[in-house]
Amino acid sequence: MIHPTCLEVLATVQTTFSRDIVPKLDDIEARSAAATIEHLLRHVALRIEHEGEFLTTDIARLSALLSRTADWMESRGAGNPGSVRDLLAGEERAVGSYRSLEALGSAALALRGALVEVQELLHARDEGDSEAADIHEAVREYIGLQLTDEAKLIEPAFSGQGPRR
Amino acid sequence: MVIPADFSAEWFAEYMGNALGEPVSVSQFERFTRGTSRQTWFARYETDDGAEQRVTLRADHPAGAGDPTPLDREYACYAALGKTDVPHARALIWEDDPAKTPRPFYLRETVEGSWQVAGFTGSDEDGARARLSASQEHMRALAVVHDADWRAAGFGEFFGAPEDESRAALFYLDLLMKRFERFRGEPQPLMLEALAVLREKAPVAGRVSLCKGTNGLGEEVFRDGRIVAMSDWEEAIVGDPASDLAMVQGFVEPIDIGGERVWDHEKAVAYYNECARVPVSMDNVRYYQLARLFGRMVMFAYTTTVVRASRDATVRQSWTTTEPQHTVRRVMAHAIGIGPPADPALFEEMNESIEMFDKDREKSG
Repeated sequence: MIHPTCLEVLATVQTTFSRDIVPKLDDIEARSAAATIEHLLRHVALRIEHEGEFLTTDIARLSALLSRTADWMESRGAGNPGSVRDLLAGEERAVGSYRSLEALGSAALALRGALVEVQELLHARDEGDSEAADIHEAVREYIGLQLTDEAKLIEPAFSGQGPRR
Repeated sequence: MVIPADFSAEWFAEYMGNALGEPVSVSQFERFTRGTSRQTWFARYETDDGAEQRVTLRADHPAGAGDPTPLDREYACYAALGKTDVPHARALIWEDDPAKTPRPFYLRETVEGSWQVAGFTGSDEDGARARLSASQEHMRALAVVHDADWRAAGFGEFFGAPEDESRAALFYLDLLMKRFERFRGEPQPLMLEALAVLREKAPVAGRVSLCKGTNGLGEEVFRDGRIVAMSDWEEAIVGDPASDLAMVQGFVEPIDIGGERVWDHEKAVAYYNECARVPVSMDNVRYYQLARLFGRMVMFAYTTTVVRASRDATVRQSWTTTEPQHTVRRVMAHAIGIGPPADPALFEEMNESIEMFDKDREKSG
């Protein structure tokens, strides 16, 4: 099945829910839950549309960052660069293969987990280690970019769209 | 006793009848819609002698609380408040026997009053005076919390406590990270950056005190302009009282009367310092704005695990893991020099509930 798309089906659900069901709710708890559901339906629609792309980009950013970090770890004898390289090798093998959203999310999380371990090493770096300082700055830049992508899944769904509960 | 899947008026009548050893008639058993972290039910019942009792039932959501602290910690907090001068609802019953209840809960007295303050939203001078009066009342109440003898009341036994004033902030951060590790929160690079900044800037507390945790409009019970019960203690700790002045929803916003600024965050802290035995510094308050935000990051990371673990998680919990979690991340990131700020109006917007709009409609109608 290709058409109608998930988004097209979801749009009819949203419209029917808001137009035909919500106005008939009297109970305050049901109305409050309905308000939250309307927001979440918009959010889910955005995730269907963009999340795969954002996660793929996230994985690429993290892979580049961790590759650079593994080099630094090897040169300083810090942490376990082998485990970072293993993780990156697994990512490389997965390039080109189909991955569900859930699998993409798990891959991104594994890479973020590796980054968190590296951050602890970066925070404990020698003051004069300019490469570590540069990588740390790149980590901060990555965080900013990831949040910018996340905002695209949040703001249009919620901001200015009425009470959340 | 047949235990239903969820709390109900019928179950409550039978439970209370068994607990009291006499039949009770339940005239009200309804859930408070604003609660996010836990469920709150308001109940009224009558015993044979016709005396009406009002109690509040607190329980985790079926899928779990939105907060990583256990329910019995909250109950213990209410019980310990009974040994202080802090206005609160008296703890009555703790119950976790699966033969008696769908899930653990505790009962406390219902204190007559409202989380809303009459006239608070008025745009005229009367509204400004109502806001000023309620805000000052809140500062006085916080001073009472902080002046309480937390050691004698036993808070240190179940909250833990920092060794001294110099360890207060680090103790709080360690407490949060232990919780995060316990529930195995998802790795967040932003958290590591924030933690490093917070550890580096950890201030010395003016004193170590009982701290309420969640503060402001919507968290306390008002009656005739006075706070008659302080509620929402799930984030309470023993630590730096400045932490309580850092995030005060609605009670530290600027107020102008007659063209003069009579209230804002700094004036609120100055007023508090006139009321409390030991003053707090604005520097510490600013630090805890960030530290409390970090606490929210941990809390929302926990809520994420709740939503993932059960389809019984509420849509409110799902929402918490989306917009509020993202917004807290944005604010934290900006505070440590990453990315643009979040729109301040967003926080007010996220706090809106449909009842507020119903009231506006009633007024305009």
